[in-house]
Amino acid sequence: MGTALLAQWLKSRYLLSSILRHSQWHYPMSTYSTGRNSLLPQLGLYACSREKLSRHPDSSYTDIRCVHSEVQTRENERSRTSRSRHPSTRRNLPPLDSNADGQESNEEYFKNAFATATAEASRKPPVDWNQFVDPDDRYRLSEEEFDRDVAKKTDTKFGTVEIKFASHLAPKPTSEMKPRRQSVTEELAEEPAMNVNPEFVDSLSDVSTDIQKIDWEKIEESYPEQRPLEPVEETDLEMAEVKPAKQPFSYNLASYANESDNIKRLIEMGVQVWRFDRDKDVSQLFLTGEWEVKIQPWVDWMLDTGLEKEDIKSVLERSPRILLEKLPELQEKVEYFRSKKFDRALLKTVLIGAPIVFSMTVRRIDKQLGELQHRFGLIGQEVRDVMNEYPKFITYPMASTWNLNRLCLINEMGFTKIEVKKMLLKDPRVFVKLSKLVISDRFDYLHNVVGLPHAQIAAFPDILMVNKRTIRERHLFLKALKRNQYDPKLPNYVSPTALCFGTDAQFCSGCAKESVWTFDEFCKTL
Amino acid sequence: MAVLEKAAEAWRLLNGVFCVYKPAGITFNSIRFRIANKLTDELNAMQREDVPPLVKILPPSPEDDSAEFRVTTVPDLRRHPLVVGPGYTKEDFYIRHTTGFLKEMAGVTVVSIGSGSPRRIFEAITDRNPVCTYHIDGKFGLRTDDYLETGRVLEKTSFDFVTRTRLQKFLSFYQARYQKLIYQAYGVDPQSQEAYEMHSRGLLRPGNVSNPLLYRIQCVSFHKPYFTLEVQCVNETDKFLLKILNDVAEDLKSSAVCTKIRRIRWGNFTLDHALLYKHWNVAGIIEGINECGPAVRNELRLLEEPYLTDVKDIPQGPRLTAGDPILSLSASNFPRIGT
Repeated sequence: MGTALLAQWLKSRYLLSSILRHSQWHYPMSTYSTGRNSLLPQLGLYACSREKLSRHPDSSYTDIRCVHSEVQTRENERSRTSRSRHPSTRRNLPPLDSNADGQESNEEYFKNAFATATAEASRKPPVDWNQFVDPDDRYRLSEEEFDRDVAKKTDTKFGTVEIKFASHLAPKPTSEMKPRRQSVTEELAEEPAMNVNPEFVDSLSDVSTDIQKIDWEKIEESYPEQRPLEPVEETDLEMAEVKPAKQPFSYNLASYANESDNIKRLIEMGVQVWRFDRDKDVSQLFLTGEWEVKIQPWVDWMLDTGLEKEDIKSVLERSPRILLEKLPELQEKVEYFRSKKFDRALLKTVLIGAPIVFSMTVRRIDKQLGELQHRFGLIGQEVRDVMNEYPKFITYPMASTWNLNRLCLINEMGFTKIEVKKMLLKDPRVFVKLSKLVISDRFDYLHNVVGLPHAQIAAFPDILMVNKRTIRERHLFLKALKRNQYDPKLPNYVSPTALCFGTDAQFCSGCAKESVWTFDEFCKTL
Repeated sequence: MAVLEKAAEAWRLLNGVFCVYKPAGITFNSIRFRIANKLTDELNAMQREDVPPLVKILPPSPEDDSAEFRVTTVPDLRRHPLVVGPGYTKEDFYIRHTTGFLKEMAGVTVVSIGSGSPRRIFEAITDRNPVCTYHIDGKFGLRTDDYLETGRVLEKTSFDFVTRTRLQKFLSFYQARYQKLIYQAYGVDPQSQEAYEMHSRGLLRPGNVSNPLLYRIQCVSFHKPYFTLEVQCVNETDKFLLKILNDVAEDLKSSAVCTKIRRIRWGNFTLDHALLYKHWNVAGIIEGINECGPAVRNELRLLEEPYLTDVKDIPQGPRLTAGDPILSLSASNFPRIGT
């Protein structure tokens, strides 16, 4: 009987699933699989057509998931192979530039340095750095400790203290137990306001007697650390060293500057320590970490990468988060740059100009460099030139900044691709520092009002970085003096650089041949 | 020539009212941001106060064979410039300036720096709405939706028949119409002895600050299609000035757009006092506060003169009878012009 019912139920389920499959699943799949923005790729079904699905006549939702997992595993395999082919992510890094010994690789060198540093640190007398740690950590107990504490409290060896609640101090009854509300007259009759409750007085005496019952001597024997403090005389030498306790929390590093050796060392180097105040992790690192263990290896790495001693200051100031990166990962990035033929001097400019590049992943660096090369049509040396000119370039997102500006320059303003490439090599800041609207506004003024041709703007791309107001004032002044001659083939030529850059005194004596006072008075008529 | 070395000295001198020349195209708020940023940078680059050393009391130690407590001083790293950071931030500066105009307007703008007496002086003189002088540049032949040259063009008109004489004729009519309205607001006949007494006391200013009033309008340059009007007015708004230009062009059976609005005088502050954009720094502003001192004093002297809000304020002269209908026009229901 039971089996028959089960079979019937299963049959109905099968029917239901087949109906669903034919009515809902098949129809949208065949239509949506053609569209690019369909939901199906999310299910892993973009490769499946109706024919493929029809090969599984009994496929229900679980079968679809099987297909999905198959596709995923195939993708995983592909990505794994490609990653293993990638030079930057190989497990076995080849040795870097040969040392004097020529045997140790840098990775081993850092391992050894780290080991020696830790060994040296262990030899030193221990420092109580805990005074700088988050104060809550001391009181925050683990679960086991917490349980042990509770257990300790429960089986105490000395007498327990019981507190009896007086009637008017007793905890209020919950809503379920709430008694019927009495009338005001009844309440008054029960408890006159001015009378003292005799029960309360009794309970007080009970508590005092209980406290007297405690065996204080026994507590002192079993828990010597809980003994009350002994009196100290003022003439004791120890008293000279007693000072108010350091607050274990602060809104900046300044309050620890007299105590912390790390901060003293940073001040000696000339690092602007106040910049670390806003970064909690970094200030924690400088306060609690020992220099030789937590900072010196990273400094050594920077020196090894190509920095001078004076430059370390600026790197620490500008991106101290580099100390939170792992050394092998940093070395991996250096290794990647070397595989792209970045020499020592170029690595130095990258590390000084944009230390934040070393906080990006290798994958992202590679993608940005690749996009840069591909979009502008550069050769390898030109990519390195751009990085030498403005290493921060690859930290900007492509779609919203530099590619947008590139397309704007080509499609809206009418520069050729070669001109745009020339502009990039001359001044990469134009593509990342300015928004599209600002560029088009300034170009509009320079091209249509001042009258500079495209080739001239492409030859001096940095004039796009100058404020439109400055250009306007100077151009109109020259125009009033009839000296606005920007054609290099004719006499009295004013170059775009002389027009836009330099102080007003230089401009007035060099281009306008007028006094600065006249120029100021002219500016007040605009 | 005084040389300022310490930031604190400069900070003490940065208190007062001065005026700047606002270039066209930047917003009024950016005046404040620019000044605050520039002052912060420059003050932080100047010398700071010396840090007093930290006094330390060392206990007697058997190593040095000293039996007494010793007092020594050590440099205090807690107040080292590298540790405490820059001494001034841009929030430290309390800056006020006059606003309420299009960002296309250029010209004299009064600015006060400092939260004490400069702020009170600034509030007092700006509440008064002093007489301002404007140069409005126009161009015949176009009409746009916002009366500006950059707006959307609605129509094109011819302007061959417009002459300087016809323009001046209309301007004198326009000015006379406003003068008549001012007398009407007081309920006085312009030809009477009473009007003479009022005029001899100074500028006629009804107490209502919301109605723009025009005292003088003239054409200072006329090269078709370009022309420039000089307007002296109180309680003005940007729309009022643009409307004047439009009224003038409409009356001449043409249309015009505004190419530039320039304020050349704000009360006693003139273009000579105004600081250019490049002079908005510590040295420039301290000099500017000094130069604007007499102008500020003149403005404050004007505050002592009361508004002529009613006929009763006039000390002598024959009064009108109570039943005169002209008395029903008071300052409160003063007819609004040009809207």
